[in-house]
Amino acid sequence: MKQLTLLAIALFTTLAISGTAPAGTYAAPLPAVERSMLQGTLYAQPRPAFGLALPSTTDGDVHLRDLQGKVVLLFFGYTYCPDVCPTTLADIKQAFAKPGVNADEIAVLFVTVDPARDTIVRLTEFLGYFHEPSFIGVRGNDAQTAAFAYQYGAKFYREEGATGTDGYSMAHTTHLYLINRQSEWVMTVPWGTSPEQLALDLRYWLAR
Amino acid sequence: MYRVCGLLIGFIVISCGLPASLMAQGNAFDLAAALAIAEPGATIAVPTGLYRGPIAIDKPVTLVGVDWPVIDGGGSGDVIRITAPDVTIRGFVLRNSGASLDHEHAGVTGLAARATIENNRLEDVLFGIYLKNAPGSIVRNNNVEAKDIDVGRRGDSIRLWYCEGSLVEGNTVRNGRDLIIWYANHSTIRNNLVEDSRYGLHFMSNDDLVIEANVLRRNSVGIYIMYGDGFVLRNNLLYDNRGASGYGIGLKDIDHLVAEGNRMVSNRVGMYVDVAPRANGTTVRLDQNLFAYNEIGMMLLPLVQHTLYTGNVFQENHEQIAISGGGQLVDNAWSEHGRGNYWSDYAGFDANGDEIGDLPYQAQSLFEDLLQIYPELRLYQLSPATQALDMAAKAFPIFQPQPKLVDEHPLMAPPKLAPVPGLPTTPTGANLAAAGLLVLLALLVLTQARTGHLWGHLGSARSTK
Repeated sequence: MKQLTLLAIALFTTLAISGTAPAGTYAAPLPAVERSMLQGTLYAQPRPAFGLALPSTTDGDVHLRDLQGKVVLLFFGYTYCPDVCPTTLADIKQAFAKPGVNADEIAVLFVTVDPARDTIVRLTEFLGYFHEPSFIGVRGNDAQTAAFAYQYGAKFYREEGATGTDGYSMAHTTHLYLINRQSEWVMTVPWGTSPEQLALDLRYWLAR
Repeated sequence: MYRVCGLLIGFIVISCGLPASLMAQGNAFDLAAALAIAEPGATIAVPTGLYRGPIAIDKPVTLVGVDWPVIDGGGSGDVIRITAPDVTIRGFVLRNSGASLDHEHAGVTGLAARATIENNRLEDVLFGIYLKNAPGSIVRNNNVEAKDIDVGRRGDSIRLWYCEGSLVEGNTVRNGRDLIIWYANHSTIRNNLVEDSRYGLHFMSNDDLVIEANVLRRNSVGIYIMYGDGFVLRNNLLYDNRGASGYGIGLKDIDHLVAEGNRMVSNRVGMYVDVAPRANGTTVRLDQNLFAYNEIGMMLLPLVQHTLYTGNVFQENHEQIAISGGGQLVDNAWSEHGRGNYWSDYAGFDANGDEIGDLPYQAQSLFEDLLQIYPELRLYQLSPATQALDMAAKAFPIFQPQPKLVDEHPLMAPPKLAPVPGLPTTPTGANLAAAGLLVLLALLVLTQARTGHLWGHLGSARSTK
């Protein structure tokens, strides 16, 4: 009996020190994210998000209306991007791993600004590196992409003579545009936002 | 790499707004492409720039112009043609439509329900906004200027055709043909300004309309309503409409109309009524309207009946009431609850001080009777001859004509009417300055006359010649 008591005390002490309570049993609920804790630029009046229908890495065209009910992160980039695009997607993936962020309720639309090189196949391959099913590649032609980008104030153009593949790279806006579950563009997240902060922003909108 | 990164950081700063000017440096905005990728229900922001029309819209979208983009129809066809319901066009300059009346080329042609056309400027268009079979539509705060062609070859600035339950408000229309509403029951037309056109507002075969606070000036006709049942005509200003017809308001074959607070000023005819009401058991009520300084205050056909006139002001019209073709008005009421109308030519008195004339007002003039038979006699209106003729008629009752109407309870003073915007206002400052100058001049003349200097100067001036 004495041995059993000692064993129980030892087990309790170990758990208390390590803080590793069995999953789902002792996990305290996460505190709610307050508006003041957000990093992104909030809009006083939510704007209706531009609903698009464009070819994508899903089975067919992606429609914003089909994503209603999810939080959408919209990003304009290209697969040959040497820095901003892969690191931004990596940051998003890290944010998805944070507590309280359910990636199943989020869609990331990666809209290529380089449709000449970024075919659907290429987009599929590039996004596949992140092993994240909520990442969706979107590809329009030049005019469609420009029209779409304008709706969010995004800009891009071809930079000749750069050191990228095929002798050019694409300069582009680096923001993430956040669309809430009601398909309203509510926030713009600046480039360089940490995964931890991005997770907070996502939790705020996932709760609404 | 550093250069690209520098650009990226720059974009972080500039991309929070809609950098339309920078779009020109990057990828040109293609309106057709935007329409192609837009989901139904999408709102498309269109940056400033010049876009080639015609633009066909076949899905429910909202087009919002940023800094007045221009869509140029190139002089053929419609500038914008809408074939889907729930389309909104806002914030554009739409110009240079085709010029075929046969094909009814327009700035905007809408062929589906619930179109909203607002805050646009339409220039050099044959028809301005033409909605057909588009119930529940809104035409608001647009500025429409027609092509610079003869009025007979123009299209309608705004035309609704079978658009039940629509709203037309706040539009400014110049140099058009008509703003015309056909078969648009239960609609509201308010706060529009129409000038230098043919018919300011023209209504054909509508029921249950509210027409209020519109300003119609310098048109051939202000408002003309033909065929329909149930109209509220309220607080409209009809000013200086002096075309061939020259009616401020014209009514023909309508039932159940209430007209109140309207101002008919300086038109050829303030109001013309031809068979209204048309059906037994229906009425027309005219309450607190102003008929001022028109050549004819009201012109009525002899068969106009079942109309109540009360609290109206007939102020200094050359002819207060005319009966087209002559005769007398019967079965109309010119007062209610002991209160009639104000007539500026009423010569009675109010001994008991109840603000109601003690003698009836009678519209009765031999000259006016003769005018109905010999309209060319209007040349002599306001001449001493006409006054002599009417004096003679009074002196010799055998010549006295039957009164056209009798108001048993004429008002001694005009009732106060609610203010209506749009009337030209007297430039008070300029008037005061002019009056001051006149007073100064008079003082100078008096002073000089008293001292004799003025006449002395004049005399010396004469003597030196």
